[in-house]
Amino acid sequence: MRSWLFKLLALLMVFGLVAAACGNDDDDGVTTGPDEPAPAEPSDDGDDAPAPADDGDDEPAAEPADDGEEAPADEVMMDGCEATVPGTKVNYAVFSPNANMDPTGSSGALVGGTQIVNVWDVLMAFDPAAGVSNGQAAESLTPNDDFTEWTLKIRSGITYGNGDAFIAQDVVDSMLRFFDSRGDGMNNRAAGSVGLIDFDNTEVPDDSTVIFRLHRGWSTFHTLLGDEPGMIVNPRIIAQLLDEEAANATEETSAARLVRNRMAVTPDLVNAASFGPYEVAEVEPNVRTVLRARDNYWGGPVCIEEIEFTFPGSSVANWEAFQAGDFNAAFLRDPRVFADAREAGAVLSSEDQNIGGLFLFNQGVRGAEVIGKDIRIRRAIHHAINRDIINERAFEGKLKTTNAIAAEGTLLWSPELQECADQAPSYDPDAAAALVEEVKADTGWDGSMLLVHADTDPGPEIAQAVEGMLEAAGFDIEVDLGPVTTVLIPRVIIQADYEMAGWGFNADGATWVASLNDNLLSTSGSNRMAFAHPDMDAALGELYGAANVDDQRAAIAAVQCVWSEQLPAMVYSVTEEGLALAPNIKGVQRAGATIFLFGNAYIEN
Amino acid sequence: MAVDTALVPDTGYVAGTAIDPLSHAQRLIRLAVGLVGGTAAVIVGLMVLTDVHAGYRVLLTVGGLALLFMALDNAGKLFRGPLFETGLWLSVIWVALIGLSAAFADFLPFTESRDASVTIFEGTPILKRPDLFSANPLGTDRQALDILGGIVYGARVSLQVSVLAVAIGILVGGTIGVVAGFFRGRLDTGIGILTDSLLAFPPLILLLALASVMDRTPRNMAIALAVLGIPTYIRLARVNTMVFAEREFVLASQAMGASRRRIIFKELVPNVALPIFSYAFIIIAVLIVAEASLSFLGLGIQRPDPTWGNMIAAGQDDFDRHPHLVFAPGIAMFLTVFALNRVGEKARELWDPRQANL
Amino acid sequence: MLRVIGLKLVRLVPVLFLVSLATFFLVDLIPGDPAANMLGTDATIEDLEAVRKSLGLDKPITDRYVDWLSGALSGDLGLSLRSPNEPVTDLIQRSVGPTLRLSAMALGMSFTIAIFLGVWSAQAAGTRVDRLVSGTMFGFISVPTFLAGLLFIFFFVFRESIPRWLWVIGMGLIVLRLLYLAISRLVEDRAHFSGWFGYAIATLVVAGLMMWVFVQWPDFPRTASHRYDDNWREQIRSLFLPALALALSEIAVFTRLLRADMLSTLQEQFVLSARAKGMPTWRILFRDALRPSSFSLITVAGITLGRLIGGTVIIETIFGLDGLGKLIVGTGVIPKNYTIVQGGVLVLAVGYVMLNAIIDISYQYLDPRIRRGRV
Repeated sequence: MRSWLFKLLALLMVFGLVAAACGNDDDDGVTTGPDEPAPAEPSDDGDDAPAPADDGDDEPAAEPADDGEEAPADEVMMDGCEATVPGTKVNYAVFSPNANMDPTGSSGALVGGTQIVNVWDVLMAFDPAAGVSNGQAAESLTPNDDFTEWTLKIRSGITYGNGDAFIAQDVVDSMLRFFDSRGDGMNNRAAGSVGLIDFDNTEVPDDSTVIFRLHRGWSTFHTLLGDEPGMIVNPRIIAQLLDEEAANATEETSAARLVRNRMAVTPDLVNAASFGPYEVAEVEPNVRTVLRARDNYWGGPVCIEEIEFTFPGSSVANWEAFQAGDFNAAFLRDPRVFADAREAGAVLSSEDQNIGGLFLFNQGVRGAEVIGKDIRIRRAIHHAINRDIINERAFEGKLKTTNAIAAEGTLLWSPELQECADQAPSYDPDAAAALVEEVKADTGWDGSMLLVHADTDPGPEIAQAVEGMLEAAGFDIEVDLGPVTTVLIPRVIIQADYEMAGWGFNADGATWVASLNDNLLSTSGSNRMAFAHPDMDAALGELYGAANVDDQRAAIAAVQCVWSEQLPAMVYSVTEEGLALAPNIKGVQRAGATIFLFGNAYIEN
Repeated sequence: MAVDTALVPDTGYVAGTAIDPLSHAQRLIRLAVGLVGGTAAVIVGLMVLTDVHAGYRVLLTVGGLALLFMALDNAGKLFRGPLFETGLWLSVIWVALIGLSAAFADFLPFTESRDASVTIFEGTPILKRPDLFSANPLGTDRQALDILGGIVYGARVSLQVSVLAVAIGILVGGTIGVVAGFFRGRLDTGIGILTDSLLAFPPLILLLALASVMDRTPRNMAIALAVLGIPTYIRLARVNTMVFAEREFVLASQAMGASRRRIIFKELVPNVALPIFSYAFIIIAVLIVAEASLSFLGLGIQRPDPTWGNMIAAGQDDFDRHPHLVFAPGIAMFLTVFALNRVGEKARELWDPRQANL
Repeated sequence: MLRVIGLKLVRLVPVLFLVSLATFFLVDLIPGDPAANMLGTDATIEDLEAVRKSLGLDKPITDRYVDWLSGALSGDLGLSLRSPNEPVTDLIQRSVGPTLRLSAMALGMSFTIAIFLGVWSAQAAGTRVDRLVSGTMFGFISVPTFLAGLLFIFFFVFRESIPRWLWVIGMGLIVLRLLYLAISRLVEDRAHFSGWFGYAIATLVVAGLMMWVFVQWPDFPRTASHRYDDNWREQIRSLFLPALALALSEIAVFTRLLRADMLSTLQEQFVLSARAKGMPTWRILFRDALRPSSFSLITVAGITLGRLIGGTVIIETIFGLDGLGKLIVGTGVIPKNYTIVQGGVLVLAVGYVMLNAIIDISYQYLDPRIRRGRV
């Protein structure tokens, strides 16, 4: 009886929500104007900016919730809560469990992003639909004309778990700590980007203002403050911990690392040093994390009492478990699963990650003599591989394939970019075979090539399909399949012993600049392919300074043009990732492309 | 501890002495009903009702097969006497069938079932549903590889690996066991401690540890599985040697001054061999499962060599949407393990003297 | 007797030493770079060097073994190679609980079902029921644990109406059979109250059970990754499918063992005389015959444990239960986090050896008759 009733209700709810969501989407389409000007305008605070002091009690619960979420904004305001509702719980299935609660020790949406953002909060929250950041723990962030100077105003009246007040100097100290963590192997991308801040000339004129000066103009600096570096760790607690651990530090294990490890297993330390909507209640590194609502969150009462993050085993298991009702929030990252979820009418909050499916070509890392150096080979591979076959074989036709580094439908796509993308060699097995023949005749190369690929589903299928197509063109492919940590990373990064590798840059709106620079800049330490071309370096330089979305589009299109000419790697798809949410969970806010803030979320009865 | 080892499910099964009250005429009627009804149900289930929900077709087919089994059972009892074990004979037939098709897989007319690169240009559709009277009777997988072919080639790999492992196990374990059982004393104690140490690892855990060190080729897998089986064989051989060493004919030849080597090779080995061999079927079954479990965890033999384990592992994420990816190799494995267990138990009943006096 | 036990204990020492040696060296031979798994995909070469040094991988292997063993003896199995480098001992301690709960539940289920089936098929030896049970048990033994896990998810989680109706049909047949027996006894011999009354009661009980389970059929979760430390009902619900998958082959083993033993017990003098005295069948079966028969279940306890430990590895992986098995495979073997593999395998092996020793010894105490009977 009960289950029938439940199903009926659920069906009705889903139906209603889908209807609501569709309606909302249409609205979005209209309002997301193409020429949104300068980034970083705190969208909500415009009106009540004059009186920031008593902001704390002023119905702030409703504030950020209306950015791009499914539920219509005015309803959210009505339905929040007066105080934490006992017994409300979000069971969240993660993509991969996190080791660490420390922002310097975890990275991105896939590993721990959502867990930690709900504990630390962020200065700015990135809105992927509009490409701008909105104030969160910061009130505003304003750049100067050439984006070399950024003025940050933090919200006043925020206190850490241990009672300390959150002051502007903390932002700088926290960022410095982040910068110092580089090389510890945890979050290099963010740490590297923090390096663009010129700390010597950065000023803290008063307790609520930071003036960041950058080494170079960077128009999307605001995204950094929505990423891990924007999560502020009380520097006084860190200083104290560093003192305590200084005695235990050895040459091999730094005090900073010991502090991070200690924080990973000691919730009290994390709670004392943070001011986000939730506190860590229980933690088992790499297994599960349980968060509980913080009593005195600056953003008003936190409605949901508890969030438990656990790991069912894979994206497919996440979806199955969500369907079976074990979870009311599940992170998904598999096109087949997304197709299923859409068919089932699940409420999704997801984002396409550009350059999600990619083949790297080794072009002579550390001076190696590899065949990938020869652009004819890279061209031949482009001619030989049919993206649709990969799609059909590995993804049942559900993958969003693309030949562009910004796929159609994502924010930075433009017709110019597509035009350049289309100039890259397309599927033409005869041309591929001819090129391979030519190179064989010229160099005496026997056609052999090593393809390295991760073995997580559907990795083996991708590798097999690619192997088949390349061999038809005259290549002789050897495939090395294995786990990311034991095969892919050692082969590609450590030994650089590969010729072609399945990879992904996963560039979303917030990480565009850093991810393209890291992977393609000739001087970058994370350039795995030894790709180097002055045109590319120049095009990448433009990215930093692009003033608005239009300029960014133009800059990315320029990168695409060089890409299509030089073929550093072969893009074949975007990767969708995001959250499936039970229809009764409302008010979940994005704090980055696929990082979710539950501070203002609530569960409807 | 008792002789039985971690590997062998000691079942203590006593073959049921069937009491059969059915008359000749009743049997004939049942035979006829079973044959006709069963065949009809299977045909209808498989061929006629093509547009009915798969569940009903499966139900009908299984019901038909049960009826056919009943008919066969009656036929067997009718013509070969009331002690005829139909299940056993069917098991023998199945094992033979799997063995033969694995041996002659290269001559069977499967569409491509191993090399995915071939299927790309062949145009076989991917994820084809099973259709018994098509080129892909059990459907195709995500790479458009034929599943029936995969099962047969998988049987080849699984059988090769586990038969090789059992052969190594018998050779190495058997030799050590006979030596230990014959010479006793310190040597025996030493071997006992080694055996105990190997048996101290829960079987799958030992296999995991081995698999994490080795390249996952069929040959290495056979060696790892052999390591798993060796202590079992040592214990079996040792105990049987001890039993036979006390028997009159051995004592007599000892009294006649036969050399030790002669006693071992002429008197003991031939007698010990049979009970050891009688365990081979059951151990093969256990090893097939062990290999499959390892493949399932992603630590066994890798594609393109299909094994039942890696076929199931590859299909598990699609199980819900494409059940045949798991059911086809799963059922093949189940039937084979079942049949091997059944045959193996009969073999033990016949050839292991200790089994008889239990 | 004490001497025998003493000897057994002395023999444990070299075994344990060899186990530790094998564990350490086997795992240490793993090819590949353990340092690599501490890094993400955006690491650089310099990061790797730093990490490698911090692990002390540059020391000679014998030194590392001595360090490791002396640590292990004092309960320190080293640090996990993965951030945040927790002590392996802590990780193992944390994950032992779920594994023990799962195994205990699997054992409990298999005993319960096996006692019922074993007694029944022994009592009905040679009949069609007996043959059906034997055949089914053969089937259970032949289903690999991982297949059982997948099938249970397929049917119990996503097609729950199939097992639900199968339950009704299966139990319905039993009910009909009991009803038939009750009625036939009643017709045969109305005066002898106990003959039919027992069957009538049994019919009602089984029918009640059938209906109750049908109505109360729970929603089984797909995963067991939640932990319900304080809510035993939820815990049972979430562990039910994994435990049942593990129990499958144990049910078969226990049932067949019990049936064989029951058969011989039922031939013994005291049972025959109890029968002659006209005691009710159920009483003879469960009160008099079951106890001496169930003794020999201990003989397979060691084997059962070994199989169960192997099974939990697979089942925990399928159901996402964070126990010892998933720790060893998921956090240890696959990412080559070898301190965890070493520690986990050592703990399992030592525990297994110890338990087997205890079983061995207790069984010398309990029933010398069995010992003599088994060479």
